[in-house]
Amino acid sequence: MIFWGLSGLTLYLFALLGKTIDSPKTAKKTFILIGGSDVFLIMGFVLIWFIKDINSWSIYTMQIELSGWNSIIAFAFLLIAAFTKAGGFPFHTWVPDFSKDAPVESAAFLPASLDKLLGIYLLARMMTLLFSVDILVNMIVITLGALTVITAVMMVFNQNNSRKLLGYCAVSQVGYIIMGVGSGSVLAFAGGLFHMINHTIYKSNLFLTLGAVEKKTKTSDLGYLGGLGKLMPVTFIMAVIGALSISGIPPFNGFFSKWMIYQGLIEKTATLASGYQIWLLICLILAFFGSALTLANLLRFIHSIYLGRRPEIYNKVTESPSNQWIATGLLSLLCIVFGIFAMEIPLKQFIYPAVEQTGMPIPEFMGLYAPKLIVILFAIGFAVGLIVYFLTKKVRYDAVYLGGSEGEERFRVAGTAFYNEIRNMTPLKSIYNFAEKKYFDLYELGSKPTFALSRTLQKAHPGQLQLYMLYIIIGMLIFLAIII
Amino acid sequence: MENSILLLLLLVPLIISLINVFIPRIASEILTFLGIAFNLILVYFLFHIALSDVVFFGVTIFSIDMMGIFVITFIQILSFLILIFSLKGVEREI
Repeated sequence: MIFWGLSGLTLYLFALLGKTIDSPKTAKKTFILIGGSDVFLIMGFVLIWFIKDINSWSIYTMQIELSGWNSIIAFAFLLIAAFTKAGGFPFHTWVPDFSKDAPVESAAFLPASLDKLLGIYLLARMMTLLFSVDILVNMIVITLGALTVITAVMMVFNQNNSRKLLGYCAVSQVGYIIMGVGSGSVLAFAGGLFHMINHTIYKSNLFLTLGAVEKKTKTSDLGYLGGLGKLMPVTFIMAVIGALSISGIPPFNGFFSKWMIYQGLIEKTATLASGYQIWLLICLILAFFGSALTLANLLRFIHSIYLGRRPEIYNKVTESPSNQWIATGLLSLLCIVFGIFAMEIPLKQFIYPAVEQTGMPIPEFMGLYAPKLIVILFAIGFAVGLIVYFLTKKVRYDAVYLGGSEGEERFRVAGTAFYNEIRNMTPLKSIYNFAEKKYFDLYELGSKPTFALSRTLQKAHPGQLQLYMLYIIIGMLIFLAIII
Repeated sequence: MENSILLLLLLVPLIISLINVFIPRIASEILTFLGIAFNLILVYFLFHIALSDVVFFGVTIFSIDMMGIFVITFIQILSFLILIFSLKGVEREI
């Protein structure tokens, strides 16, 4: 718990290192949310201490039944701690803000990787070893996962800041992991753990490639970027690999883990009563829909930065230093290797031993998935496409014309233009407007009454020692009354 | 031996971060790089040695299982890669 808390402090300090005007506010928000979740973690463990009458803080096999209020509250408290750390709905709002305002390297490491690993690690422990959960609890966690997917991915449409866009994408991916780990299906659980490590790999890759672009262009606003693919080809390729992986395109790693989660959940529906079946299918549909929207959003990300017409001020931009593309290159390589050799390397070496240790059997797959065959088919398709292209090459590259004359730069269409139209569609517009006013932000909703209460309580501090003594005595009496 | 690996994983970054306060930036970067690389090697041994709990005055203070090992592995791999990314081409001023 000490080191868990220290990681929250690290987040606060990194957010303070950011150079945006909102950095101090984001640091405060992150610290309050993460610090608050740490309090829930401690309270959860204290309750477990009472329930099991144990003399250590070990979180190994306990299998606590969720039968009494103490165990239910302990579970809820630990779930809040895990969700806040991992960035699950509705405690996710610190992740996009941190991604926007903190230095990009820390955004790649902390919210995109380390905190996901820690939060999901706790959730996995809770769902397998710490508590004995029934199907209703599984369904609640799956639903929270599906809500995380869909709310975050819908918010991505509204983002023109590339860092915030990736932050929301990171949150949406956590939804899939929560669905897998919380489902109670062995295959989906293994898929969830696999998706957790895949997520850390491709999300770090995307943040780092974005960081490389940002260092060269000094902006992360998608509306001002464009056409950098020719000037930064290596970074472009790495970013495309990351985008395809997060979108779940075979044979990259993101596909395999999502496919395991989907298979596990579909398998699970067969074992449920009809009401639960419909409930789970709705969650699955939301997850599928979220996956398609992730692809659309990541295409926007790639198009806005690397394709389209390049603003003239970036004509002298050069490729990132070799150390940067070595780092992103290795991450991209992991995306490919973990996709093609999923069974041989990550599942066999890391995931299955962890799954077995929780007392579950090694999962069996439904149907056929042969990554190497997919790679060969993709390669054949790509080669055929190239042959057709070269045989019928009738492409003319020309400037954009407007009213008969070459279009000036101010008429450049940014990669975000089309998506701004979606944002302004009638039912979505008012939702996005509410979201921009932070009406769905738990921190904003909670902080206003909390700070108002704090201001009121300040009036009870006149500086008289006798009065403080009276407060202490009254407090002790209340505390004793509760305990006795 | 088994216990010392777990403790080293924890102590090496702590000691390096303390030393970094007192040494020049270049030396600090080299030391950090070596420290993370060393920890990456330690992680390799986690998979090949049967680990026992770290007990201090009769109380278990650290214990690790396969899920913990693979989480630590990826934290180490990512921290190493992000360190490589940060060696050149990022803003240094704080």
